[in-house]
Amino acid sequence: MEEKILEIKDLKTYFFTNAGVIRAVDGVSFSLHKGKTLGIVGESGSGKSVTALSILGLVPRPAGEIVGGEIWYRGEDLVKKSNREMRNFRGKKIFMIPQDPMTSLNPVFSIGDQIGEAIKQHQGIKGDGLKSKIIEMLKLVRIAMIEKRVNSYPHQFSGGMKQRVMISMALSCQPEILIADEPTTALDVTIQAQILKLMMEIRQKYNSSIIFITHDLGIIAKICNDVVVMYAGRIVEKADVVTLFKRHRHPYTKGLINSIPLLSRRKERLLTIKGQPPNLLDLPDGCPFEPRCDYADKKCADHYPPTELVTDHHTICCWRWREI
Amino acid sequence: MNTQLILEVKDLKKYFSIQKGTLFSKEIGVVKAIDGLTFHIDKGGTLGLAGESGCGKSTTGMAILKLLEPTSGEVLFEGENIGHFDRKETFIYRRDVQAVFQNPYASLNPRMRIGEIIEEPMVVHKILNPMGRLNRVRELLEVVGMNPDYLERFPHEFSGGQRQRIGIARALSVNPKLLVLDEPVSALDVSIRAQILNLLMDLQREFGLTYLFISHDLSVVEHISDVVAVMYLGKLVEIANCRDLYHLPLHPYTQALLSAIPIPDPELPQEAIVLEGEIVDPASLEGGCLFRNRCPKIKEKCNEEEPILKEIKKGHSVACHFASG
Repeated sequence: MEEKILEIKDLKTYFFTNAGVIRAVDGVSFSLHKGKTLGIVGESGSGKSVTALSILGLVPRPAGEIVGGEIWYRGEDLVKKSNREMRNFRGKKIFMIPQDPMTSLNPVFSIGDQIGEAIKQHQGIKGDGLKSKIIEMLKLVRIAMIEKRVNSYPHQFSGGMKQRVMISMALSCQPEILIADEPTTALDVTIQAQILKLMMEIRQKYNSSIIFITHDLGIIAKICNDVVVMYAGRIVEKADVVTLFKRHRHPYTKGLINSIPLLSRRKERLLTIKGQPPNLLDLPDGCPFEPRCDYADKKCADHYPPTELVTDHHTICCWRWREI
Repeated sequence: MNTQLILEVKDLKKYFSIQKGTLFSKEIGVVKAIDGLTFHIDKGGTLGLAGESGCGKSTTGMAILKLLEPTSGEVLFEGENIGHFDRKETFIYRRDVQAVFQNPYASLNPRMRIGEIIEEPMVVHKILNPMGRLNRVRELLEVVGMNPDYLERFPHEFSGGQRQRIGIARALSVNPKLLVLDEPVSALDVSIRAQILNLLMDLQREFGLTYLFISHDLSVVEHISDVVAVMYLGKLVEIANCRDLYHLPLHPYTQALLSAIPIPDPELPQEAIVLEGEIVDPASLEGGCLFRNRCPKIKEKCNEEEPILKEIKKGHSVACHFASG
């Protein structure tokens, strides 16, 4: 039996702005299993990052608020925890690697200081032991000549190196859950390959669970076990990775997979998803994907489709999935 | 002169000097952003220029647009050296060669209406009368797949993909011969990226345009290009017909780049060649192959002699001592 380490039930995170209410995350449910990687795919504005911030209790206030739902971690509901309790929780149990390594490190502290802070906080190591522990952690992520570089500042490091520093910080906290929000989007392909390889080695070594947020389906196919596809704040399809790529049923998933330029489909017209991503301030009553969907009919425009099971591990949210 | 060629670049170099001090500044080094590039683009074709950040691909685009004065070498447009153009000829050259930039949020003036943005190049180049220009703007909006009634709106009312369409309409307004596309789809979502790529291919067919397509994303480059050039640290490491390059890449760097693209198929086993290390200051690698600190196939000769770009098969050139067709 796979152990569920994190279970999210009907999570709703809204932002209250002058222009109206933005339902950034609107009834999202999924669970993360021990030692597995869950991928969240979606376009900008689909609510993937807000889902991650909700898990960490870092939804920007006062505009944003978790208005409903539960986040279960080892018998505790994280939504009900106070700020103080969550602070102890973040880092130690759940660590987030943010998208932009260029801005996620403090420019006025040295690399060593910043990792040292995390180690001090979470492992309680002080004094001489701290320095050697810092170097040990940085060696784990293979930064060359680290003895010389431990007192360098972030601006002296390249993007790939900064992302490694973030990963080593994550490791020094030994979290059970690692949330990576587009960790390689800002990096070159060859560096991306290095970082992904490193993350997979770490998953194996520490048996940690990873939530990997990305818009790149190629990465999803390579490293994830389960995948959640989000559109306009909701989950439209959820399945294991092979099912999602081979037997997807949702027209949006289909569109996403078909619109990737493949090395074999040269100079042909790409199949596209017509239209523009939805405006979250002005979502239709029915399925938000309806205006862009080739299969849409009257029912889709009027009512939001229920979430149904295709098989035990494959859920879908579409009126017409049986015909696709 | 070969009439089929629209653009020729010969041994192009651009060095930037690094200065120290403000008042009594002195040069303390140079960055060789591009260092001896030679390639050409056929009329009506697409050259894809690929490489990682910092390899000099955007600098190449800037030099071709005459926005940067090259240190040496020449750029020939329809057989004429653009370095020798006077003011008037430069003006005409800048009508014939237009650009579309990476960031559609920064490349449109937020205070101008869409109609004004697309009309402006025609005003500058004195094309048509005001009424004719208005019709042309409406026509262009339709060509790029937008509602012609949007011309009174401002850029902030549009999404990234729509803004990129506006940028393309602006570039097309003066009937250019060559378009320099600098990462035109990198800032866009996957579904929108496919729309813009399709649009670019349709426009090329319809108006006989020639593209220089600059991108770090090899799968995008592959999709749109006829010939692909791969750059590393300011130099070309491989240039070939698109099909040849992707089926049989000869340079170890190209091989690694291609293998590093994650294929969206979970059942297909894929062994990525993971390059160790990062791009370093090329000055420290002088006197040998610039790729040798990361190359998985390094041999003695790579430390001693810098490989030059040579043709190995017809239309397929590689800068590596050990590449063979």
